[in-house]
Amino acid sequence: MSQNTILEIKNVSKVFHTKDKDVEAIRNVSLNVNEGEFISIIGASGCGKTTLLRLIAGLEKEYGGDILLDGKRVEKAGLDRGVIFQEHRLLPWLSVEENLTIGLEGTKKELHNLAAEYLKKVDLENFEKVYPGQLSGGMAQRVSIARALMRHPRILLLDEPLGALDALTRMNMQTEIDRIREEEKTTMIMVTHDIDEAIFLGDRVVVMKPRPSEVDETITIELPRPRLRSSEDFAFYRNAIVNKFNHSIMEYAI
Amino acid sequence: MARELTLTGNENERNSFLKKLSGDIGSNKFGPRLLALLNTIAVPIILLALWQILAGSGLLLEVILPSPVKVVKAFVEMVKDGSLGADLVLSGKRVLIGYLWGAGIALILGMFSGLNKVAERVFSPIINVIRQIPLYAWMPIIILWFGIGEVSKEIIIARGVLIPIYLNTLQGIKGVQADYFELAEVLELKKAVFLRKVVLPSAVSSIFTGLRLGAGNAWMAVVAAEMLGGLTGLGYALMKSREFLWSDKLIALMVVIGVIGVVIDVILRKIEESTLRWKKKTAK
Repeated sequence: MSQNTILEIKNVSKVFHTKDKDVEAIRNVSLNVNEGEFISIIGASGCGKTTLLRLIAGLEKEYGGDILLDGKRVEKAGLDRGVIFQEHRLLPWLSVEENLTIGLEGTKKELHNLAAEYLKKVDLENFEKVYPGQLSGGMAQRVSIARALMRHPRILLLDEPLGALDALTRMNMQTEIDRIREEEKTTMIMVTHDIDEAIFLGDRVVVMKPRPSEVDETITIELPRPRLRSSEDFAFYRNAIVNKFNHSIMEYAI
Repeated sequence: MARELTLTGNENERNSFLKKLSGDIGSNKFGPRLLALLNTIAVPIILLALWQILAGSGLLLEVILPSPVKVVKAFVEMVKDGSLGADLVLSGKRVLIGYLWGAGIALILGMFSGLNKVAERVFSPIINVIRQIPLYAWMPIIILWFGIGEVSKEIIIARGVLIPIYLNTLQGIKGVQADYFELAEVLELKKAVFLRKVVLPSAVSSIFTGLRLGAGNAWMAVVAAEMLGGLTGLGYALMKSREFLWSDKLIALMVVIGVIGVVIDVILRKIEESTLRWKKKTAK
């Protein structure tokens, strides 16, 4: 793991102002992300993990503290951060190729070749002319990963990207993301509520606790890749995180 | 329905998936389509038969209800003496000019209002007031101002077209999902690209609904305008037929007006379909 810090999150907090009250979505979160690292952020629903990711993505513009990407404070969204949403957000009236190359500049041939190259990377060769509605959920999500990677982001932000998929497709997609991470060496931050997924992919797993949303603990996963979900070491980490959860739920209840 | 392909990286499976996709398109069978056609025309045929029986029974004066055969004869006569063709061309020209003006203005104002809150606050109330005054209530003042010539007929048609196209365009553009605005931020899409590739396609169904409603209104408005003023066109021919008690011609003209309305609608729908090719490929 290289020690070049690419993203610094320093004492970040976010309050949503609604009509009758202020809701504190996250409080005082700090985290450093190194180049090439895969960070899993895990927590129960409503713990602000998606808000944190949206802040990094620049989709929420006002926040306390600092989020620094390559030393520059994040103020708005941009191509240096790729975002994979829970739904694929492909435009249904554009073909896969048009979806991939939207907004990019270049000759028709250049764009076509680029699309083909990245479709190959996500294992969807020859899908250029297909429309999103013809794809399965897993395929569509892979196209959306290709769309993000094509723009060479410094960091890829995945917001429960596999949440809408069935269990089997989900496992295949985790392997796929692991492979892409290996090949592209892109820094990634993924929000999930699936403990196995967090361990399978993450170099570090950040456990967040709800209300107020803070980082509970950061666990470094020291397992060789590709990881085996059935291994004893895997189960060790799984138990550690499950215990962490039980603990914080108890705290919250009291 | 989307198909699942859970195994990744299996070339055979992927190819057969692609093949299936292309094979699914264009497998229309003749039998069911014939049945569907019968389904559609059964009631009109029964009504036509009843009409013929009632007209032939002698219970009603011929001037009140001429038989279908007489109506067809009147139609053939109007085609032969050229009066129908001339009226059609005149009315058609008025509709076209009025429609293009009305639709053009409505599309521009509708898109503008859909994208810009200030514009919406300016135009929507005005359009709403115009809408609340029925088309027929506008005619006297339009005729007073512009006479009974072509201009006032075109204005009446444009007024009829304006409302549905404006409202549907506005609604279509405002209906663009918030998710897509986020996507545009994330992908740093330029405004022009966002408009062309995201906003317009997602509003196109709604816009075409407006265009089709507008076309129906235009056809209605031209007949009304010609009935009120002028000495030419299908509306005038209707009025003249009533005055001379040519009920066979009257009905023939009504049918012609109805059929042309349907034809216009079908043409617009075909154009709409051609812009929604992706939907056809997707819906199965």
